[in-house]
Amino acid sequence: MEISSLSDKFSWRRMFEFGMMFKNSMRVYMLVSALTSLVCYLLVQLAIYLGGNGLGVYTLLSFIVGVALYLSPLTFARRDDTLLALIPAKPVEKWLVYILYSLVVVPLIIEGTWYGLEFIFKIFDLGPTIQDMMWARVKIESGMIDLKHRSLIIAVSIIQCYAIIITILYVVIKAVRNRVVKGLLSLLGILFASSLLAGIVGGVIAYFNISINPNIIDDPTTLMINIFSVFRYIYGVLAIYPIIITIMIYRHIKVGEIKA
Amino acid sequence: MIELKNVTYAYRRGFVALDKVTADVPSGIHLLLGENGAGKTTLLRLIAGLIIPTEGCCLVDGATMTRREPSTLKRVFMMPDTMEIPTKTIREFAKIHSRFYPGFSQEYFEENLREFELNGSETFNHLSLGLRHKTLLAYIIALGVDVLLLDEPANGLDINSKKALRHMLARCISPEQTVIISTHTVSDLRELYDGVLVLSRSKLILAKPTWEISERISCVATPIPPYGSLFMEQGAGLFHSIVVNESGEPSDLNYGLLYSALMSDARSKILETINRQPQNIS
Repeated sequence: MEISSLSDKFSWRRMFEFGMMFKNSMRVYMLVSALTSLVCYLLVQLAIYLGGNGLGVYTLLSFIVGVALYLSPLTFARRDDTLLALIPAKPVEKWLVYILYSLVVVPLIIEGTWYGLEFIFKIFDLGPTIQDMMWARVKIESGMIDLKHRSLIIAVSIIQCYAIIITILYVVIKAVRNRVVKGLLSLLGILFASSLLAGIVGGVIAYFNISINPNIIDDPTTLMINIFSVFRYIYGVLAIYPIIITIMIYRHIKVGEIKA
Repeated sequence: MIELKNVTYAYRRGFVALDKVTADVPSGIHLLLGENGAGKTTLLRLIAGLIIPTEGCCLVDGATMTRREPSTLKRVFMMPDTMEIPTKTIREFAKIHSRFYPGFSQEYFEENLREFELNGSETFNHLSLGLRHKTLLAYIIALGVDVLLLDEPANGLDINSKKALRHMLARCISPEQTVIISTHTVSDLRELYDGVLVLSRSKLILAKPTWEISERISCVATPIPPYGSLFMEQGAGLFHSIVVNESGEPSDLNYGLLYSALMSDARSKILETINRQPQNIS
């Protein structure tokens, strides 16, 4: 059945065809982000292999990989709003293209490349995985944190990540001009805000833990578990933020005015 | 049919771009005139559903465009004065974009490209503004939508390209389609217009079929001022005037002269004559 003859009901096929409007820029970005993840991973492994400062190199390069993840919405920066608004697809189909690409496809590519390489290193015994090395360096061995807390750490990480990506996506979708610059500035803004928040909260909790039990500093696992016990409530509330922004993006696509 | 019912659009700052515009625009090719800032582009965007009226409503064949559902969107297309495409060439773009439009004609697209002396494989971003405009027009006119809104389509086109555009519209636009062309260069497509809409300072002052206007008034060019003209201006050694059409037979319209008249103090006289009911000849 032709796309043009589909009814007003939701159609995955029509959604996909709308996504094809961005085929070229999506292809480029997916390739660049996969290569970024691959190269950064190998560079960290090289630093470890050569006996260098693995943690330092990891911190820098994981930030670069993170930026590649966060900036996926810039794929949609170069566009004509009038043209896209007039394309006969449902607002929810258009919305899903932006959301699925930014929050699912690109993260899967980046994380898939990174963890795929971790998996290869592990099964072929090519060397320690970066994750094990990092846990060891901060004196928290992965086996000492139970599944519940590991899940919490992952959930907090995902919420933080999605909050950043969805903010940039919102800015890029709403902006009429200078979308790339505004996207980059919003990245700086939200990184600063989230780092500040995490730093303040983590620091306050750690301080109160240490003042109660100074010996806890030699038991980073317990300290980390205590911190996350409080973080889960804070991030539970903050998890509302990406949901609200996602809804705002949908509303902009559905009823937002296109003046230029 | 486009129905504009008391449409008002005001920007947030309080500036009223359209003020209680009411008209029914039937199928055909319509000329939209108005001074800079009169509200022409705002009106086109409103019809396309890109902006929402502050008051009133706009319907296209009974459906409101602001719902942005596929069934309404595939009936309307607006080409603003500039447009970017997300692909390298217009052919690539047509391959993806035309799937959404059931009325698209590949044959018309190819003919339009030939008429504009293009092959469609040119890298869009490397083209001059005029060539980009032609490339887009060649495609958009072939879309076959029920309502086509063109904002300054002849902008940047050379003389031959304007002729080609005229041929294209005459060839590709069917009697059932509604086309509204907003332009300041009225002479380029003058033989095509079935109706005229004139905006002045956010108000719609005229919305009539051309045959009805031409039955009420005549545009004449004479070496001496004609007696009893409603409006007159001098140019190229002649007096270009609007007079009452006593015969009631359709006459040639000079849209530029009509526009000048409507923007002058003679507006009320002209409109009174155009809107007057024809007298029965017994």
